[in-house]
Amino acid sequence: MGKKIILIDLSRCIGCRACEVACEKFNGASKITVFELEDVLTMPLNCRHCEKAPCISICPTDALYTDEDGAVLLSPLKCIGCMMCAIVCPFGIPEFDELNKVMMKCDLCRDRRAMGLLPACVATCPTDALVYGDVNEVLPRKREYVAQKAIILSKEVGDVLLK
Amino acid sequence: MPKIDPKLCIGCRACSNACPSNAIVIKDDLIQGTRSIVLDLSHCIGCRACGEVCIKDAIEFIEEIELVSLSMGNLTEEVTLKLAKCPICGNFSEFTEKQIEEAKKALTDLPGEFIEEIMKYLPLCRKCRRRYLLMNASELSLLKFMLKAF
Amino acid sequence: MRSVSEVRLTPVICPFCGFGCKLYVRSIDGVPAGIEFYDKGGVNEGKLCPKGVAAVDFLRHPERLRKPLRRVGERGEGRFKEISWSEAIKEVATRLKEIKKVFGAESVGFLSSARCTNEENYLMQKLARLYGSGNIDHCARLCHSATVAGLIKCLGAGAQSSPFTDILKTRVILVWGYNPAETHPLLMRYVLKAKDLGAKLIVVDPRRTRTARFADIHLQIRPGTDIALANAMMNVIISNDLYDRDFIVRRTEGFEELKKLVMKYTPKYAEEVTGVTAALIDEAARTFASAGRGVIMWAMGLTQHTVGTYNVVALADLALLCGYVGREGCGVYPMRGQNNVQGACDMGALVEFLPGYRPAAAEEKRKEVAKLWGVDELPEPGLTVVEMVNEAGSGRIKAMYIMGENPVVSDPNTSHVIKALNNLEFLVVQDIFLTETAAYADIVLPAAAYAEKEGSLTSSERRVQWSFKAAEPPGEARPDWVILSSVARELGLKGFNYSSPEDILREINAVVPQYRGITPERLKSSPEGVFWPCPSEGHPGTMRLYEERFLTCNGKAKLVGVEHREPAEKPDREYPLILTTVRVVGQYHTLTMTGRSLSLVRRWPEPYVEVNPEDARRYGVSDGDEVYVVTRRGRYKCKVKVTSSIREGVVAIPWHWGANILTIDALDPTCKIPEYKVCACRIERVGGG
Repeated sequence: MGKKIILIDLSRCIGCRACEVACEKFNGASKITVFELEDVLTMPLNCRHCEKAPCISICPTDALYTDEDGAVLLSPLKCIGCMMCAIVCPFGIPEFDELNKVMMKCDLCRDRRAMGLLPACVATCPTDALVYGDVNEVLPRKREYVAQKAIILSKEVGDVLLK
Repeated sequence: MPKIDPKLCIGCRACSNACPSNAIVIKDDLIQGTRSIVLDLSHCIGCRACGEVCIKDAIEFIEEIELVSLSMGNLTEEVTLKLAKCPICGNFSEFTEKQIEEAKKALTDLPGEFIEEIMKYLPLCRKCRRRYLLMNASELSLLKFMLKAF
Repeated sequence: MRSVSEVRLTPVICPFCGFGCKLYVRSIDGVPAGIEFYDKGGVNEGKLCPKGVAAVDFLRHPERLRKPLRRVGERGEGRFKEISWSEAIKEVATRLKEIKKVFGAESVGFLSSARCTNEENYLMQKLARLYGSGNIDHCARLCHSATVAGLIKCLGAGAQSSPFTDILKTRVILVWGYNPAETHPLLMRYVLKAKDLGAKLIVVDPRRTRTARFADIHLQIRPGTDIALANAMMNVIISNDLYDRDFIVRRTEGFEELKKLVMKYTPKYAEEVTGVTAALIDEAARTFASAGRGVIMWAMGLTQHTVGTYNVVALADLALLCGYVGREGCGVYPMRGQNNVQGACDMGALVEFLPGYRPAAAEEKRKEVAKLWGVDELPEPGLTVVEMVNEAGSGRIKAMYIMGENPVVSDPNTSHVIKALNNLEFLVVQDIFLTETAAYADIVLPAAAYAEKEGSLTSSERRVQWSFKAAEPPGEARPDWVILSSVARELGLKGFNYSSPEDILREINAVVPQYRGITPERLKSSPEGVFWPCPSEGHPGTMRLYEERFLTCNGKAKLVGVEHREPAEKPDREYPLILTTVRVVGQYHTLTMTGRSLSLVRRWPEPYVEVNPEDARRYGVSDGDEVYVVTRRGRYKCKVKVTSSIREGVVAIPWHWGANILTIDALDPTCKIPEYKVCACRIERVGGG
């Protein structure tokens, strides 16, 4: 099976934070956060489940691993809570769970995937700013979107320069 | 009885997490920018859990301790480390400087350019790291950056 | 031996806004445990906003009312004693009978609820009218009565004309005084999809809202000048010959008068009044009129003014002028805020309408309904929500029966409402929590919440859907229809022997012509619901109104010119700022439900006042400061949020946390909607200065 990812489409996020609430409802604590750059844009961010994940490569106890969908999972029994994963994560994703003294992170809703359901944040997102799917299906879409954005941006920049 | 080697310890608090009797306590001073790892031998039950989890092998076990003083105060050991200061917000982050050094050293099996990218944000605190993605990157380069991360 | 727990997924309609989202409630042995996303279509395609995701949080909240209560302390003090159901029903009926005998039935006011099912609203208005009181109303008065009054004048019916799917086929979307990104996140799904397909988005709002971020054109208008802007847009459209001449000749009347009136409103003039540049008005008007297919959406930002009705009329004119009504990809969309506000209006829980929008002032219509109910006559129309409260203050209204509403927080000028409630002889409140209003009640009746009962609900797009029972109500709480019919029977009224909501819906099928074909069996078996009007059981339902004729007497739409008028209260030296009320996405109305969800409260914890950086500098406040916002009616403490998204000279407060202590109770003379959206205020630093 191919690697599954969640694509974040910034241009569709309305900042409603439904993903946060859904994650909290299904996983106990929210592992996705919506950031707001005041008056400009909002952006949800969860674990990107990197293919060459720095967190996996640094974990001293091999508590982090990938499953068959390519999701980066954390085994709480192996974790010693040393926070090295949090240090190297580009997105600062793994959080320390004070109660259990281990790290916690997004598991791409393992239980829901096992039942054939979408991850909770993706299932709820009202505007499809979060899209879940096989990397080979979603990434071309993402590249297309990035390219489109690039054209729009360069146009805008061009307009400014012409003025 | 455990003994922490202050030269090796990076202040990751794994030992404190593992200790069943709360003999190792982490105290962060966010004003001074220090992290103290306080080991109180009077609480220690000698289970050696701390030594098992220590990622730097900084804890060694001594069979007997010599009582130099009769006061209980001397039964505590303390290791003090500096917390990293975030270059963007200026606050002390939740990592020690040595932890970051360690992370830099440990990240060797990733492709070179990727490590370069990681080195850029390593000193940032986590809040700024997320914000950095939004603030310092234009939307486009942010997307490129995220594209790379897959 | 322990039996295995039964886990069930039951489809219900989301209890919050009027979009009509479907979701599953997951219940374990009759106890609600969570939600699951609906997988069989529906208007939301399974998606939910944060409130919907947290929809079961309040169901088993410890503060739910579990037993009928009788007040033992002072009004508003909140001391109650538990009593039995039979005692409670008997007391309500006896007191209501006494008051009728002494003061007459018209001294009792009934408030129905847009949160309850069609069946319950139908029962409430039947109870009120058979009891003999014409004072039956609900909170549509406070949100869309202007829409109903305005649209009936122009198009003949007060409802949304087209389904949401039409948004996907449109070429231009005009969003006026409405912020779907926070109010109906699911609607943004349709708006963004339409944008993907090439539609343009025009937003009219004094704030640069999250919706406005997606806009192609944003007209940042001064609050209360909507008519001037709409007239100026029509001026541009008419002067540049961009209107749909054929449509105007064939299907409308009154064009010449309208033309004469709007010719005065040049974009230049409108620029002075509205603060939007003439060039931008011109661009917006051209974009809107030349698109070929367009929709107009509006909500509270347009209706909650003393000129609310005229605002709606102006927008209807704009839509008619371009021929954007009654075709695919066109329509007028008054966006409803509550899950059954449309249904409550259809059922006749309004002063001026009997079930099925029969005007209550017309004697023959009253006779018609009276005959169906087996009585001789029905009372004439009485008082509206705000008037009832006013008359309670002056002593003409002696008793009130409030079902699922919280006027203490939702009505304008809070202290005035409290004074009025204190003045009542008898107050019954039927609700799921001990609300701020219930604290003033003599008898409180515990009701079942949305997933704990069955019934039909009508969403904003006139889509009637069935909501199933997913869980048992807590304690002794009972569904509203059960309570209402026992009260009615105890009052000695005939025709309240129902055994289920289906029974009531069958009666509605007979009484309300628009619902004739919407039978309980049909609703239960159709996951997509049925659109009214549906005149017979074989009829597929009407997705789009006005395709052939308008619902006015001669079938033609009326173009009615309206003049701009300034709001009731203007800023002056003492109160130099304009205050407008807004909402946030994660909280709902008076917080009765969302305020009891930890997930939502954690994210949307407290009120704030949005202030423009320029104003912040002028009044010496900065981000995070605690301030008092002061109007002639009261003061309100909250934190400052400095943001450039709001216009200079305007401040905005989300109203959920009780900001209506500040708002003015000036009413629209036509439909009596209060002017929540404009009043004069000033800000004061806490601790002087």
